Amino acid sequence: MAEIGRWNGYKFKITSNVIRGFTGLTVKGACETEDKKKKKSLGYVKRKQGKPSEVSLTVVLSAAIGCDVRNEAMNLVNSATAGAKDYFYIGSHKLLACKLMLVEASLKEVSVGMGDTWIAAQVQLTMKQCDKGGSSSSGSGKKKKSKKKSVKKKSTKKAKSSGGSGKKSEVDAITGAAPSVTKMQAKVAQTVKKAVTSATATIKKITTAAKKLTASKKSTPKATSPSSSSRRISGATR
Amino acid sequence: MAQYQIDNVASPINFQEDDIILRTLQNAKNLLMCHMGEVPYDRYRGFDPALFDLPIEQMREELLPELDRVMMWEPDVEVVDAEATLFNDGTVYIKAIVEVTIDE
Repeated sequence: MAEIGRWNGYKFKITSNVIRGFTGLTVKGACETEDKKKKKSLGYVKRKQGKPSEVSLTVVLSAAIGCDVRNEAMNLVNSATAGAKDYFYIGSHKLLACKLMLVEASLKEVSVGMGDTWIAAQVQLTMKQCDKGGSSSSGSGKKKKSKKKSVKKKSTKKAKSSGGSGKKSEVDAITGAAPSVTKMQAKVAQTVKKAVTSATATIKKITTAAKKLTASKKSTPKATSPSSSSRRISGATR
Repeated sequence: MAQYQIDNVASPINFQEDDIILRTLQNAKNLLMCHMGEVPYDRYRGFDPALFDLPIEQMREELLPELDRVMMWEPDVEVVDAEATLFNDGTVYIKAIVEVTIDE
């Protein structure tokens, strides 16, 4: 395999043109501790929280084996200043399951040749874990909650409004509809009240008119002309 | 956290999937099946098909970084490992082990 490692596009590799390698790879994992408070277990500690994992290595650059020493070294230093982060791959596998941020790059043992040509240099890199990263158990151990749940809720609500079953959603739908139902009830009550009032007034008017009519009929003589009503009365008597 | 396996064998998408983990895995598989350049206004989404033209050893080297890039569109998924197998008919089978970093 030509490629040894890779970080943020920087490849450690052995090809016919270049050998770019590193030495002294160190992976460090640690956790903070605190004293146990029980009287009997004095001297023991318990885990407080995890510390970020740390990786350090030394990049060996040499112009004799095809490296552009100055550019590569200064690129690494600039990456450290910018806090560049990426996974560190060894071969085709991740060294750690988390992204590593380059926090320090120190250039040392620089050999400058004739003119401004850099012949050789070593760059000491220190990287630190900068995200939780899968199964690694450092950090406080807080679990992330998905934002997708809210999306899911919305979609279920939609499904239920369009005929889906589910008691909870029905209750939600009913609760949501309650204020509008109350408004409608009030409107209906008002309309009915108005109608009843107007009907009562009309009935009163008709009653008074009928009373007046009967009073005027009583005052007029019956024998003057045989009306239909009198005939009916006579018919009824038969 | 539990690890799951996804691959690039075509399978139908379940649009009614309720389980959040399975939905996330479907998203991841969909990203793996999607090829870079085929989504308008989002041309970087999907797997880079140029990798299929590389010699298989070189492709294996490039596979994991590429999958990490592809899965940036599904931040709840973390690629743990990946493997590429070249079949006799020239097709490449990609198998990826992923971790879903959300609560069930």
